[in-house]
Amino acid sequence: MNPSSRGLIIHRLLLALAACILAIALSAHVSAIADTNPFVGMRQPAPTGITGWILAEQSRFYRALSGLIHAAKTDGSALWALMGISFIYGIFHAAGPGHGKAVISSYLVANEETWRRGIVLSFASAILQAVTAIVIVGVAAALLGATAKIMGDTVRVIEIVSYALIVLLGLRLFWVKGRGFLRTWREIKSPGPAREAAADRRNHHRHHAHTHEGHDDKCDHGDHDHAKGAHAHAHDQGHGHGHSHDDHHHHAEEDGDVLPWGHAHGPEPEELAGPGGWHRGFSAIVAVGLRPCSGAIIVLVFALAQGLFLAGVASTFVMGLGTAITVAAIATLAVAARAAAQKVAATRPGYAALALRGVEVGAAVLVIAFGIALLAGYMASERMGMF
Amino acid sequence: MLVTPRARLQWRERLVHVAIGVTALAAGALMAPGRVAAHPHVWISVVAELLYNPEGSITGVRQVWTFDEMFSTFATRGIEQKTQGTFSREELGPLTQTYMDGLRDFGYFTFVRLDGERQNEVFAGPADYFSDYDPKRGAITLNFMLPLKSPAPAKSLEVLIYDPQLYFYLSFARFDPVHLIGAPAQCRPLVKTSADDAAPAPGSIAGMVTTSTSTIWVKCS
Repeated sequence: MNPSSRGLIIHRLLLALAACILAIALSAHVSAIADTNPFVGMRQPAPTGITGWILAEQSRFYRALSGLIHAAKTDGSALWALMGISFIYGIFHAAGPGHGKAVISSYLVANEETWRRGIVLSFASAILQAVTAIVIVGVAAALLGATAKIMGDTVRVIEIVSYALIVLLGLRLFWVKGRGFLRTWREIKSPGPAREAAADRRNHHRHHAHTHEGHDDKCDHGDHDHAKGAHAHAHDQGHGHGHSHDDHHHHAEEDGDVLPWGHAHGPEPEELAGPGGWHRGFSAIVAVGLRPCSGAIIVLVFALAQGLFLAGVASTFVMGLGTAITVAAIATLAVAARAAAQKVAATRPGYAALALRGVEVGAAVLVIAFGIALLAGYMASERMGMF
Repeated sequence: MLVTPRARLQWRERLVHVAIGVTALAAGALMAPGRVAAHPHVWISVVAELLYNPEGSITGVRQVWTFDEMFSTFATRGIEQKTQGTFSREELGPLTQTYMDGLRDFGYFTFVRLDGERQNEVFAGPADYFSDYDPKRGAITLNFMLPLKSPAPAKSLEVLIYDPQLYFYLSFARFDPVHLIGAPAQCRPLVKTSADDAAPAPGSIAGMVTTSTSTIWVKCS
């Protein structure tokens, strides 16, 4: 199949996905508005529509979960049903707040990540969430005979660390992206060669995007590389894009400025798989994945009490897979949105590029805001001291 | 310049990109509040009593919350028990205290409206609270009473029991969930029960709609 048309199909699928999620978000939003003012007439402040449906499904799956764990004590075949229900429960459960959807999406947008990395990040953090839950219940409840309160306190400490890490992650992004923004801004303000260089780079970008089949998604201009002082690396490695970097050198030297964003081309396939590539996402995975889902902890403790801890462990991992699918879907949308903005920016040099930098800075600020809100929300309200 | 098929494809591609972007951004913006979607972790079945004084005013709300089996198992984990398989009221005492302390910050998820006006700080803190364990259901029942600071005329009183953030899924018990204690004979409670507790018409949209809100009001004929 023609790579371009294949790309078009993928993009159409993405569009359909985006529309579906928009519909869900809309209905959730509408019911949320009803939710905020429960005292209007006799109206029920109840989530209805799709949110209500998700809620109803969750209730059903939750009840099925406990029923199946009971059944598995005597009937081994119930384990298969348990895995199936765990998987679906994970998908529905992650549709609610939390599970790092917002943080991962913002991180991906700010850090110009590819959708492939977005999916990997989503799965890695979901699996880490499952592992944390298993370790907590395995050590605290199974080995030490700890109470729910002790487990709750443990989760609370982990949450604080996790939220603080999210703030740090955001601050680092903000630092890197803020500088990128200022660089682009200076580039626009300073007339002449630098501007041409910018335009040239943008042309280069277009060229790259449309001639290297299937490379679209990787064609990002990783500022993170700059942050790590990887300029030399970016130039020396020889990207094999069939494009000379000499002009860039020329203009940049003439400019005397720090290299703008066009130079490092983001992760190459080998870099993506290499230790350096994964290392970049590692901090995001830990920040998001450290915090276990309390739902998983409840299921694990229940399975443990029924003498079926291993079934609980398997169920937790399968639930994590379901969670990852939901998170990955939303992360993919975020990446697609950014790619779309990039395409637009590529056609209009100058302020559009600046706006794109601005979006990145904004996403970095969002990550910080999420982290602070989580920390503050945590400080303000501990859920009955249960978790 | 000739418009090549390839160029046209690129143009279309860009248009699709923009469409994806706009849709995704809209979805993202709407999802941002984060708390709008359902995300319960604990399911609670509620039985409530409205307490009347001899003058016919309501003096308080008494509630019995039955936690779901999985959460109850989690909550009682590690608590010492004299008799295997059950927990005494005393053994659950510290747990009950933790819950009542925690619930204070959330107004006990119990909200009151009088004469069409939402009331704040109407309850004088919980009284008579304790927890029991139901070995048959494997469930904890939390009992507590919320006295009103001043007795309220029952005529236009509404009590709503729900967690706005849906962390707790509070719904009325299936049978006979609300009682009036010491009420005038002509008064009876009206309630809205969750749709998933009622029998939904097969295939109907209404069957999919549910609520975690329990609303009580009193009608006197």
